[in-house]
Amino acid sequence: MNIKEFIGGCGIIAVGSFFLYASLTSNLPIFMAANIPGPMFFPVILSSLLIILGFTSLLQTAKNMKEMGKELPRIKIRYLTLHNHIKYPSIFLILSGIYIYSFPTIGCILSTFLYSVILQRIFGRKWRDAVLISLGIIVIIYILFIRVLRVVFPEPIIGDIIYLYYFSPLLLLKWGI
Amino acid sequence: MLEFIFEALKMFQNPVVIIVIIIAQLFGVFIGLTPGLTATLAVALLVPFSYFMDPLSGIGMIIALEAVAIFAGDIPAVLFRIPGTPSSAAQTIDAYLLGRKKSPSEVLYVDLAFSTLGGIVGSLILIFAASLIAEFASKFSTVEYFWLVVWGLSMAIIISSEDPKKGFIGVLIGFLAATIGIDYVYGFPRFTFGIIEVQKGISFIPAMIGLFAIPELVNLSKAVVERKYIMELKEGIGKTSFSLIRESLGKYKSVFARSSLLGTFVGALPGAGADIAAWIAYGLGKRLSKKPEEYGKGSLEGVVAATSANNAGLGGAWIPALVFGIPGDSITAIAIGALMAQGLRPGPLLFQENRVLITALFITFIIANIFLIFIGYLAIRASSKLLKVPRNVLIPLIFVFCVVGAYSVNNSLFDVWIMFLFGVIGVLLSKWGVPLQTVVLAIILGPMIEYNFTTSLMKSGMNIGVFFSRPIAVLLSIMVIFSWILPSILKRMKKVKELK
Repeated sequence: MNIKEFIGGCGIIAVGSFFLYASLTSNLPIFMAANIPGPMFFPVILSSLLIILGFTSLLQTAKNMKEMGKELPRIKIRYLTLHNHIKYPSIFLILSGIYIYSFPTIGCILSTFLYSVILQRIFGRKWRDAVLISLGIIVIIYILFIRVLRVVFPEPIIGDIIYLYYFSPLLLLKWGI
Repeated sequence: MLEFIFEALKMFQNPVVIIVIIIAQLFGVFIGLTPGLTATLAVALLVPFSYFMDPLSGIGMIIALEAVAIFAGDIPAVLFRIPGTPSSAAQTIDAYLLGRKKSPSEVLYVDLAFSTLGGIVGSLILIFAASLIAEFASKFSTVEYFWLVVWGLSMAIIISSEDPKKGFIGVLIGFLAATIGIDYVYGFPRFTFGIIEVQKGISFIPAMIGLFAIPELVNLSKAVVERKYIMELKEGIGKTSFSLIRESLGKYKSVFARSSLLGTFVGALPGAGADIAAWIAYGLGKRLSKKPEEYGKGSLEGVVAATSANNAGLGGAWIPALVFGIPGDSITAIAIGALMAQGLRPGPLLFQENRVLITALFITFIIANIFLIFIGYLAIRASSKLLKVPRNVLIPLIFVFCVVGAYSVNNSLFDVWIMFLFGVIGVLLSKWGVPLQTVVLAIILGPMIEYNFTTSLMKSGMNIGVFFSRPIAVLLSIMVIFSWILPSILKRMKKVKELK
């Protein structure tokens, strides 16, 4: 509880300080003519309040330091039992970040397929099931978003293959060959 | 008025509207049934689709979905003692124990009946109250709007968390996020750091998808290997019998009336929502009950009180959302974004300029609650199969839809990163106990506070007294002050009670 408060407090101070620094160093005024609030009036007030609240949290944590000392072994045990509960969410978040990064690079269809297969495998699903389910997800996305809703997704690889099929001479030009 | 009703009814001749409502409700069943996934997430995932629809289908889809998702959340509560959505938490223990005493299906049918009736009461109050309040609100100036929004945020801070400090932090973060981009009063770009995409500000829908979906997926992934399925029901749901419905309809009329009215009122308070409505109705039901000792041990009265209130609260939440643009809960917060994307700005003018559409939306509330009977019945019958979806399929499937949905809003990869960033922020904030609905409310209401505050001062020549120059403004300012001192009054009352 106290460690959470401490980290949370530090995080809030960091966010508040970042916005306060950006507000004060920007060229935009805090007050306009006749002391009317300017574009940076609210950001300065909001970020200052965040910093104050962050310090309040830290002070509260410092006050409870003695209690925290008594609770330390319990926290340690809890951390060990929670290990699996940290591992899978972390894998999920990291893989999701890579998926979004690869979205424009290898295209929507391929990146979605790979993301889905890899995540299912890590989460304990068999290869065959993971591949079949991922193919199903791609079919749903293709029908729903690409065919019905006409959303244009980035498709550099599959798009080029289709392009190659129809307009191979132009593609050679595009690749500079 | 009748001509508007006829015109609105004509809009339902388009079969797409009805089909969309049914599909949305089927989707709502699935999300509501899944513990850990909320109705808010379901709405956030569906909103990108509303961009491609006409306003009635797009908004009707949200209305239909939330009605059924809140009910479907009661199914795992009865079967496994695990609420499917936070709105089902109040009656979980009673519903589960009652299900063991009688049969789970009997309790679920009672739940379905009172969910439908509660939803209809909430919808009727919305229909009658919203138009009247909208007429009154058309006289509001920027000063009244300023106080109203401040009051809305204050209530959200107090209601949504046990620790108002955490609620306040949520509001500050949301408000700060809303200041990114071109400012609403002067048109200067703020915190853009030379990135062109940031100039239009934080895209609301992708931010919402991230804030609500990713923390839930992270929670779901914690036990992904240990618990293969969402839930596994080895025993059946029991025999089909409607005798308990007959008994409860006769016995608990007053409990139902009180709880649904209370639920609608609480639902209309910004930041409160259906879950808090259910808890308050349950608590009041226990206090006024002739058999309070049965509460928590399988009380049918407790189930009726909570389930009537949570569905009635849904209609209530739309009153401030449509009339003032102030969301009653996180679902209506997303709905406001969907309305704006359709070119409809919530507020009194919406009732004057789009009367037929508003009437059609009101009719959708009634239709959605009637459909709930059939879809809810199917959900009860199919629940054991629906709950057997493997978690390791559900997580990538939902995340892929989050990414594709966020991208579809503006065909922008930047929005996908916004979704992910807000998702990570949501995970950290919810770990720290900051209620995410306060962040969402502040993203919507922040620009309104800034605009109304600055414009009022500009118009009055920097005279602070302008905020207390009109009777409604004074009344609203007193309400704001009262809402700030309310927690300390309640704390003191609790201490005095404990000492006694």
